[in-house]
Amino acid sequence: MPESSIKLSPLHEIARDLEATFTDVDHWRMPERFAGVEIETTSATTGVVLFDETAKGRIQVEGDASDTVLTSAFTLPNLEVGAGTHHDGTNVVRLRQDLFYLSVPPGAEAETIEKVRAQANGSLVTATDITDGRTAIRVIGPDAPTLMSKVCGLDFSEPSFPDGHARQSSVARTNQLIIRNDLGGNPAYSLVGSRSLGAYLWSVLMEAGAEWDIRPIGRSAHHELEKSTT
Amino acid sequence: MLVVPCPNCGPRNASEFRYAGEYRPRPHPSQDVTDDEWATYLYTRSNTLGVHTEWWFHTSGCGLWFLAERHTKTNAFVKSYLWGAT
Amino acid sequence: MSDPTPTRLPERPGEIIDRTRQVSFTFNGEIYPAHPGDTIASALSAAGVRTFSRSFKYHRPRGLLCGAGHCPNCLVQVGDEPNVRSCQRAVEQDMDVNPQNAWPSLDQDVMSLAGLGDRFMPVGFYYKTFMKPSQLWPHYEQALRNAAGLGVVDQGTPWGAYDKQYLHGDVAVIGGGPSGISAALEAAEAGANVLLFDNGPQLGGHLRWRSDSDDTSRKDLLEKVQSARIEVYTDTDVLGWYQDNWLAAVRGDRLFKARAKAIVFATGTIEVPTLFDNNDLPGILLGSAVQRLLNLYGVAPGRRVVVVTANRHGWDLAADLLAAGVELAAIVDERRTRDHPASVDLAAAGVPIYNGSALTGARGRKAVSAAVISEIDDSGNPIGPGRVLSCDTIALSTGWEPALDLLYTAGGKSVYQENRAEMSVDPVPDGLYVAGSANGADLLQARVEDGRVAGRLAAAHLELTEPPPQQELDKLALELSKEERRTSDRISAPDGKKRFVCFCEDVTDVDVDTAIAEGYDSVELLKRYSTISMGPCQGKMCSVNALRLCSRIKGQSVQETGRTTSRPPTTPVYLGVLAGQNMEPVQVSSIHDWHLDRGASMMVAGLWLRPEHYGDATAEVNNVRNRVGLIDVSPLGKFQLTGPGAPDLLERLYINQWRNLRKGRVRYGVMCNDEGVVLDDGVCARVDDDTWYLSTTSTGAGTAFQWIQWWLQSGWGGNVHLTDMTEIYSAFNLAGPHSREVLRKLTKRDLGNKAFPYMRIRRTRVAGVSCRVWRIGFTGELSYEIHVPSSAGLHVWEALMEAGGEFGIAPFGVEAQRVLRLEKGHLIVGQDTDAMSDPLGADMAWAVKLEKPDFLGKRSLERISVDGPHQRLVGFEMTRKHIVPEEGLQIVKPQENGKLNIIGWISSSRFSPTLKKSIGLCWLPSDIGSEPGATFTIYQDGRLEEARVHHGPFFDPGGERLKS
Repeated sequence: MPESSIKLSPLHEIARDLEATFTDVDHWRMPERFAGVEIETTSATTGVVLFDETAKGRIQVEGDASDTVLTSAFTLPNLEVGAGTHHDGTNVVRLRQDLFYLSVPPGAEAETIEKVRAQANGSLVTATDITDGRTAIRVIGPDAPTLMSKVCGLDFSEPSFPDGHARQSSVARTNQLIIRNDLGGNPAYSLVGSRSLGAYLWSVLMEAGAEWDIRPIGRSAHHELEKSTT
Repeated sequence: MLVVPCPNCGPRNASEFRYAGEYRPRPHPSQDVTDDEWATYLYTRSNTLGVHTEWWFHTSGCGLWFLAERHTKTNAFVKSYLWGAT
Repeated sequence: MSDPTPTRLPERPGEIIDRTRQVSFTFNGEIYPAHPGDTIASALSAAGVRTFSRSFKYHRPRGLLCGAGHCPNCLVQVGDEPNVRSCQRAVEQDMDVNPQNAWPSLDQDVMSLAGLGDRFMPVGFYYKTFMKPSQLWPHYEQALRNAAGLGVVDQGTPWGAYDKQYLHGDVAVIGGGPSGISAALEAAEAGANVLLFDNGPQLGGHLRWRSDSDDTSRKDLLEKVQSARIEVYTDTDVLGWYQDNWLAAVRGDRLFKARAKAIVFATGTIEVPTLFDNNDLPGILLGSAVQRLLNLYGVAPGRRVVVVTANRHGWDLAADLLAAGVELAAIVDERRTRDHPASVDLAAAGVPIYNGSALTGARGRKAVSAAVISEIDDSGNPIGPGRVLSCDTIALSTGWEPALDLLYTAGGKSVYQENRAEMSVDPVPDGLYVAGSANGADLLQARVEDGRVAGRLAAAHLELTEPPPQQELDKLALELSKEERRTSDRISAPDGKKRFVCFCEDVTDVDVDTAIAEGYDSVELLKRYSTISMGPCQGKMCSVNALRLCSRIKGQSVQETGRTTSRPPTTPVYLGVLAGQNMEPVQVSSIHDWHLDRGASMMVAGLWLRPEHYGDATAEVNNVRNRVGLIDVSPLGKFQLTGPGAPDLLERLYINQWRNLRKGRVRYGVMCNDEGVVLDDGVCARVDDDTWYLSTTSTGAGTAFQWIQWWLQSGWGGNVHLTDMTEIYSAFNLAGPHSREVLRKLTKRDLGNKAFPYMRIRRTRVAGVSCRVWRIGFTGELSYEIHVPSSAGLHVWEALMEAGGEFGIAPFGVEAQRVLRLEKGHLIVGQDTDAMSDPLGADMAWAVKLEKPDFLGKRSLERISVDGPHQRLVGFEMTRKHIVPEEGLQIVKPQENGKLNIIGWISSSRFSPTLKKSIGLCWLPSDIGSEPGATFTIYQDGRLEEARVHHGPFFDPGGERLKS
């Protein structure tokens, strides 16, 4: 991989048109700031915002033995389908009996796959780095559940879709993995779907969120929100 | 809109699925399958009035094919399960 | 200066207008005052306006009738928005309101003159008058639309901001009157999540405007709603019920799609008019409309009112009018009883009361000037001479119809209750409940109790609570059975004037009579022939009267007559609301913006946007043949198979052989279904012992993935996993004689023909990025297909373009690629094949390995191979070299009798810039197609063009260029 940042999110042009400032994250060129950190964090805690988290690493682990393999590779509780857990910056959700989705910090993909493969012990477990094939948009804010209910038929109420859980469904007529991952006491959802549909989905969410003055946030504001969580 | 019970994801709107028709076991295409038997497998459907078994694919969800037993008049689902799980 | 609001009353208890403020709007070009809270109709009524519109067919003047948003009489145009229900739409400052369907003016409508309607628009007029000659129908239709239209649609109206929202609840309650509120409260109390819909601006239903209850009961219910777990949606019309308790509801510009486990229909009743002479004159209002005017807006319906009734509601209304100081000309009650508490006060005030009497007609030209009443016998027929009562308003309070349309759409079966003269539903489908006045309850306490029980039953359906004990249900049923009948079903005898059954479509009792006499005697036929109940009110005002009339004419019961099927939407809805926010997914590659910057002309392929060309497709073809080109083929389907079971699976999925393919090698493969029909094709590589990487067509990628998964997940999935890599890799094809030199600048790998020959795959760094590089050639030139991780796609693409600069590299689009492949005679699945194409006929017999024990299509291909294919896909050249026959054209065989038999079709055709002639692919009968040089005939634009069969590639048949 060349030294300079050559990886671009499918939302890169949109951020550039909005005159965002950019920063480099493990070869990715990602937006640092849009309107300003304070405005962005205020929107995130009073309305709803979008954050491009495409730079995060994404691993798919498939196989009947993947449950056992992942339990040995990470310290995992027993996960029901649709449930998830955090471990050392890695977020694991179970999509099917034989399929798991892992999100890892940018750049940690290869070592995570190695870690999984090391535990396979001859059973057929396929770990695939799907980072490049997906766009990930995080929808954050108190109005996020209502915004989601405008683009997706799932029930986003608390008992039906609790924090930490994941569902695969249709969002604005595209297939998305939806992971609820609240941030700083506010509801948040990561939408992970086809990279080629990222720009389309972003524009639909911006239009659907106009009634709450939805805005994009950059890495700085996102970092602030994460700090307030811990 | 019809609600379809996905064995992996639970009940979901029918628009998330692809319907793939009545379940028909495939005869092994060795020579002893007659032309008639093969044509029946390919082209004949029982068109049951009542509960029959059918294929669904959860396109917008888990990406699993599954079988469902559905009443063809009332649309009531009896059960759904992955292939081989009955 | 005269009083601009002569019928505005002093302040009324419970009114919802803000008298401290004033706004103004225009109607029909004149300025009118209003208060915030007024509807267009209430403000116009306060100003004494009687005529709101002209009727559909006869252009008769029509005024406010139902005041509840049901009937067509008060529809107006607001700005560019047609068909606005003026009794529902709140007035806004400077609103521009206009009457509809009136020409040249509301006051003097040309169409209403000279009995035009009578003579030329009999019942069934669409079918009778304008059928012959049929070629003139478009002209008739245009004239009719102009004469009979509703509002005017402004084609220039900008796209509105419509959207949709999904709602979820345990129990949905439709109707926020006392029974609906009670049901919602009871269900919430049991722990249910409740959605409560009401079409009014506030909850309360009739408590908002009817004075038979004190305001405290409404306030009490509303307070309880606020503290309960209830999601309230006011101003929301529920349009329809769909499978599995899926409700469509509209609030403003938003469509709700609500799913509930149980539904309570507390939809109330609709007051309906009766049949009498001139029953459509302005000044004839339903009693509930008068009460709404009085009690919500402080407006008197007129100066002198005759109240006509057959139940307690008329007396409630009369008491309200008396209290408001409006002059009462009379109370006319069909019943002989006079037990209403208000009767004493009314009698004391000197209001004439006529018991055992009914309204037989109205008089007046542009509005009511008198009511004609008569005593009636026990059968409801008039006795003796009528009495003429001078008045300017007739308030009709003679009948209520339970609002059951929604419940009918949910599968409820209607039962006509002769003793009560109203419809009910029995049985009510499982999980659905009907409550309140829609269920026949009339007195407030009964409505509340009935709602409470329905809410409890709904919660019990979800197993949140126990159902109410049987004795409680029995007690309620007994109470409801004792309720006073509230509807009159008498129809007074005609006296030569028009009596409208259907106000929307201007259908009279005579029309119904005629239609039945003509044989349209079933209600479904009658509806379609007379268009009764097909207008904006969708039968709310007319349905039950039409049934009564029909049953009387036919001498059968209403139940036997039956009713027409109810279908959603039960309330008019904007198409924009149904469309919602624009959600048409578009897929773009990681270098989409680069294409746009280069001026690419984009085309739609599946959901993808792809460059068709960058200005000159022919130049792009030439550049690939002579120098080097680069095409973005990212939409190609890309799948990976992992595991020792992969070869077994491939052997079954493809017609080809795979097991013997060695690591690093590539093979072209074809997939069929069990019918032996070609599904997809592509290349497949063994990249490792247990890892296979394959590509499919771009538009077939999704289908192919599902297809493979199907077999994998139904028994063929042993020891193998399928992973979709389509989006993970962007794919670029570098093609042309200079492609090796370009790629060499960006990689350290030996690209020589020995180290990296044709039909091989290698993992290689390109511009520093680890890629999979295939040496394959759809274009027929030396070419490399580079699969690069999508996030670095733009980086590698730009590096290739830069490296290729000295060799004259240029991007090429889908159009150039199509020409290049056609010159090589390559087919495109889906373009050159269809659902009838088998590989034997499609020139792929070499790939079919019937000796394999099993593969998809084997049995059918064995059968086809016995006789051989009937049709063959072959190349062709035109005798006249410049003629390019359109794709899809028919190949014909002239017969002796001069007729043309269709024997084949053109699947692809282009002018080849390389060969300077027109070439293509086509399907021909095997006997012609099998013979190179055989001639055949194409039918194009009335001409016959000759073409010749060509076998094999048109260009570089030895394939030397792509192997160079």
